[in-house]
Amino acid sequence: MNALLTQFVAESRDLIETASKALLDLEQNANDKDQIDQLFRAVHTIKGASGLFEFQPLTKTVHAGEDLLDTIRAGDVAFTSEIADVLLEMLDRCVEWLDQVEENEALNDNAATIGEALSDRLRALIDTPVAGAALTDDAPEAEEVALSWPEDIPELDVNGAVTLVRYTPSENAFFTGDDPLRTVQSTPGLVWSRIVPPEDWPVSGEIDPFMLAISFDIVSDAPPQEVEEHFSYVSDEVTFEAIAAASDAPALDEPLRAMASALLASQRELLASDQASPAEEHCTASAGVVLRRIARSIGVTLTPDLDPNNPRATLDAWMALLQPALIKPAPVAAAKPVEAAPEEAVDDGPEPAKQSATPTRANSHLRVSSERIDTLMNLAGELIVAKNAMPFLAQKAEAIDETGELVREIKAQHNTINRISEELQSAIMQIRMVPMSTILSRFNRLVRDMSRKLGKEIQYVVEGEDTEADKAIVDELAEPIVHLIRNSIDHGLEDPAMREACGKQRMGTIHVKAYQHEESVALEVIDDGKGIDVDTVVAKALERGLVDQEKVANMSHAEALQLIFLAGLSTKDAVSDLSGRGVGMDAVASMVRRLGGTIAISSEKGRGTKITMKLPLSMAVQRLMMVEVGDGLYGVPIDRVVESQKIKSSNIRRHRDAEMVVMRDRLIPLVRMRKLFACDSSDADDILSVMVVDVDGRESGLVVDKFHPGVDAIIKPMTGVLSNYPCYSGTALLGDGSILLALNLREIIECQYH
Amino acid sequence: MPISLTSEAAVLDGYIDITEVDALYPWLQDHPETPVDVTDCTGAHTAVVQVLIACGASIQGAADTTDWRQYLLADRQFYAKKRT
Amino acid sequence: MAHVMIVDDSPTVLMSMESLLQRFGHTVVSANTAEDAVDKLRGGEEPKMLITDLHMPGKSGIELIGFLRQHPAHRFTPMLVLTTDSQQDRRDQAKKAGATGWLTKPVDHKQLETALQKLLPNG
Repeated sequence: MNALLTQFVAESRDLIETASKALLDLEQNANDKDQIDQLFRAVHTIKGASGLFEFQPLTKTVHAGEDLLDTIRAGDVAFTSEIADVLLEMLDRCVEWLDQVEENEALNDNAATIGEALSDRLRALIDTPVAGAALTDDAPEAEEVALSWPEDIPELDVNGAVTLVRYTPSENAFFTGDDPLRTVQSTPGLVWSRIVPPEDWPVSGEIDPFMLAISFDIVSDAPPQEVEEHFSYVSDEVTFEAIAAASDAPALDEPLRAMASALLASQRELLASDQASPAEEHCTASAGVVLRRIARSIGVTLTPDLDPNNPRATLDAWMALLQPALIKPAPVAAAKPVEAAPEEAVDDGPEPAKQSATPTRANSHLRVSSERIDTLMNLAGELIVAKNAMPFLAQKAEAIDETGELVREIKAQHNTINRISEELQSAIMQIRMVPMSTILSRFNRLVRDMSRKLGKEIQYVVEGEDTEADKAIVDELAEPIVHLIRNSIDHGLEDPAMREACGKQRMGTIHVKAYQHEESVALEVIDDGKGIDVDTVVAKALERGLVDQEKVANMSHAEALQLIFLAGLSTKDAVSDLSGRGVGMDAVASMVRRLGGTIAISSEKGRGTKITMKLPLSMAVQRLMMVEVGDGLYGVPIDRVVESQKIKSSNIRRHRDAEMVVMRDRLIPLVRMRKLFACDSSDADDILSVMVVDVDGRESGLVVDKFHPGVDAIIKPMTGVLSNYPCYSGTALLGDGSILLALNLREIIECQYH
Repeated sequence: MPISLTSEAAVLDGYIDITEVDALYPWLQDHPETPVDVTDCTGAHTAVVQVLIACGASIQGAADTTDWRQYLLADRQFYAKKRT
Repeated sequence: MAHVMIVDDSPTVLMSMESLLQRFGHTVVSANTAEDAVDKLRGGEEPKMLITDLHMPGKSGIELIGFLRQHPAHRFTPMLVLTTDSQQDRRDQAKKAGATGWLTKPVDHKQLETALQKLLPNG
C-alpha cells in the first residue's frame, strides 16, 4: 500500500472511532452541539480524504451521512435513535471497507450495491425534500463524478478530469493593479481559454476603456487545488467546476446505448434527406456536434478531424466508427465495467497531483507502523540478551586476569550497558503503551446494541480508561472483555421489571474498571445483576467429573466459584442450568492465561458478579529464573516464583502417589521435573532443590537439579513441532547462545495431577 | 515607441501597457476601419485587448499565432453577436 | 525585468526581498516607512510593482495603498501586501483599499515567482 493510502486508512479509523464515540454521547444528549460538530467533522473529513481515491461506494455513503448530519447540525432534522442506528451501521460498513482497502487496496465487488442501499437509507432520513440542495452546496469539493461537458464550451481534446474556471473580474479590477488576462494566461495547466464579452456591449463611443467589462472561461488540466491557488487573489470572482473528459465518461449502460444508436440513426436520416438543401450547412454542423457527443460518452475517439470542404465525408467516416461500438457493447466501455474501475485506479496509485491534496496534520504526533516498533523492541531485547553475555565474559576473564582489573572493568561496562539497555527498553515500551480507552470505548456500542435488542436498560460505566498497557496486551484483551460484557448483559443483568421486583434500580450497570497494579494491569468487569449460584457451579463440576467430592468439601465459597473457569464446565447446554452464566468462561480464562495473565471471579447471589483479570503490562521482555533439569536449562517467570529452597528428601511426605513437603507450615505438593521430562531419576540425592511457584493462587514445588541466576529474556512463542508441547510457553535465546525453554507452569502442574 | 498611431495604421510593438489605452481608444474611435498591426506585439494589458475587441478593430498580423493574439481573432462572430 | 518597490520597517525583510527580487532580474527600491515610500515616489521612482508591509510606524501599508491609488501614476500598479497566514481579515481590508493581492510571510522564492508571473508582463 502506498503511503498516502496507509495514511488514509489509519486516519479514517481514528475518525470512525471519534465519530462512534460522539454518536453514542449524542444518544445520551441529543442537543450536545459540540458532539454534533465533532461527528460532522469526522464524517466530513473521511469523505474528503476518501475522495482522493477511487472508493466511490465509500465516498458516496459517507457523503450521504455527511448531508444527513449537516441537516441535523442545522437543526432541520432531529437526532433520533433511528438515525443513530443507521449512522452506526454506516460507520461499521466503513470499517469493513477499510479492512478491504487495507487487504486488497480496493473495495469488494458488492460495495457498490451495499453503499447504494445505505446511501438511500441515509438520504431517506433527511426530512427536507430539498436533499439535493445540500449536494449542490458543496459541489466543488464534493465532486465524485465530474460534471458533464458544459454546452457552451467547445469540445476539447483532454485526458482525465479538467477544471473549468469562470472568471468574472470586478469592473474596477484595473484600479487594484489587476491584469486579469495575465492571470488567465499564466493559469497552470492552461488548456484553453477565451474572453467572454458582456451581454450588453456599450456602443463604441460610450465605452469606458478602464472599466473591465469582459470575463473569461478557462479550462485547465492542472490539479484543482493548484488552479484555485492561482486565482486566490480573486477568489470571490471565480467559480470552479470539474468537468468530465472523454476518458472519464461513465460506461454506457443499455438504455443509453440504445439512445445513442437511435441518435445515430436519426443523424443518418437527416443527412440523407437533406442533400444539397440550403440548410445543409446547419445539418452537417449539428450532426457533427451530436456525433462528437456520442463518441465522448462511449469513449471513442473520432478520426479524422472534420474536413470543412467535405464535412459529409467526415461525418460518414465518424458514423462508421461509432456504429460497431453501439451495436455490440462498446469495446472501451465493456472493458471497463463500473466495478472494475476502482481497482484500476488504485493500481496506478493516486496521481501526484492528487497527492498534493493530502490533508496536512498540524500535530506533533508521529504515526509509525507497529511493525517498526516491534523491530525496535526486538532489537532492544536482543541487546539486553547480548548484555547477558558479559557476566560470562567476566567469569572467563577471572581465570586469566590476576589483578582482577579486567574483571572489574567488564563488570563496570556491564552495569553501564545494563542501565542503557534497560532505559532503551523502557523507552520503547513507553511507545507501545496505549490507554485502555482504545478498546473500552468500543464497548459502548456493544452494550447499547445488546441492551436494545434484549429490552434491558443498561448503563455502561468505564473507569480508569487512561490506564496504559502494551498495545499487544490491550488489543488481545478486547476479546475476553467482549465475552464478559456479553455474559453480563445476557445472563447477569435482569430485565427492568425483574429488577424492580427485586427492589433494584430499573437500569442495570456494567462497570468496567482498569487500573495498574504493581507490574500488571488489572481489569474488572462488574455487573449488578443476579450473581452466580455457587451450588449450581459445584453441582455441574461434580456431574461432569471435573472435580471430586473430597476436593469440593475442602473448598471455600470463593474457591468453588473459580470452578467456573474449568474447561468443560460451561458447555452450551449448561448455560440455562447455571443461572445462565458461564458461557465461554473457560474460553475467556484460557485467553487471559495465554497472555500470561490471571483471572478470578467473585459473585454474590442477587447482588452481582465481579471478574478480575490481571495481565502483564508488557509482553516483551520478562525476567526469568533459570533452573537446570537433566542438563537442560528452563526458565520460570520470576513473578511466579515464591521461593527457592533446598530440602532434605527425608522431609518429603507421601500421600498415595503424591509427594508433599511442609514449608513454613504450608503443605506444598512437589513436581519431579526429571520425572516429568523423562530424564534418569536422581532421586538418590539427599538434598533436593525445590522452587516453589504460584499458579492461580496454588503453590507447587518444582524439584529441579540446580538453581541458576535470573535472566532477562524475550520469550518467543514456540513454533513448528515444539508448539505441540504445551509444557513450554516459549523459547528464549541466552547471551552465550544457548536456548532456554520457558516453562508453562499451569500445564506442568496439570500434568502432575492427571 | 511601443505604439505608433497614424492614419494608415496602428502599429503595436513589444508590450502594450494599460496606460497606452488613453491614446489607443480615441484613435480606434476615429479610425474604425484602419488596420491594427500586432505582428511585433509581444503582449498587452487586458484593457488594451478589451478595447480592441470592443471597438471591433481590424487586426493584422495575428493570424497563424497561437499566443494571446488568438483572443483578438477567436470567434469574431461570437464577439459581434454579443455586441448587438 | 521590472522595477519593484519594497516598503517594510524591518531591514531583514527588506534585505531578503531585495535579494530575492534581484535574483529574478528585477531592480529594487526600498523604503522603510510609508512616508519614505511616498517621498521616493515623488522623487521620481517609477516602480512597476509595489510590495508593502502592513504594520509600520506611521502610516500603515493599507493607508499607503489607498493613498497611492488616488494618484494617476499608480492607479494600475500591482500592489501586494505582506501578511501572515492568520490575517485573512487584513487581506480583505487590503483588497478593499486597492491591493492586488498578498504575499504570506515568510516569502520564499516560489511564492514570489508565482506572484510576479501572475502580475507582471514578462514577469
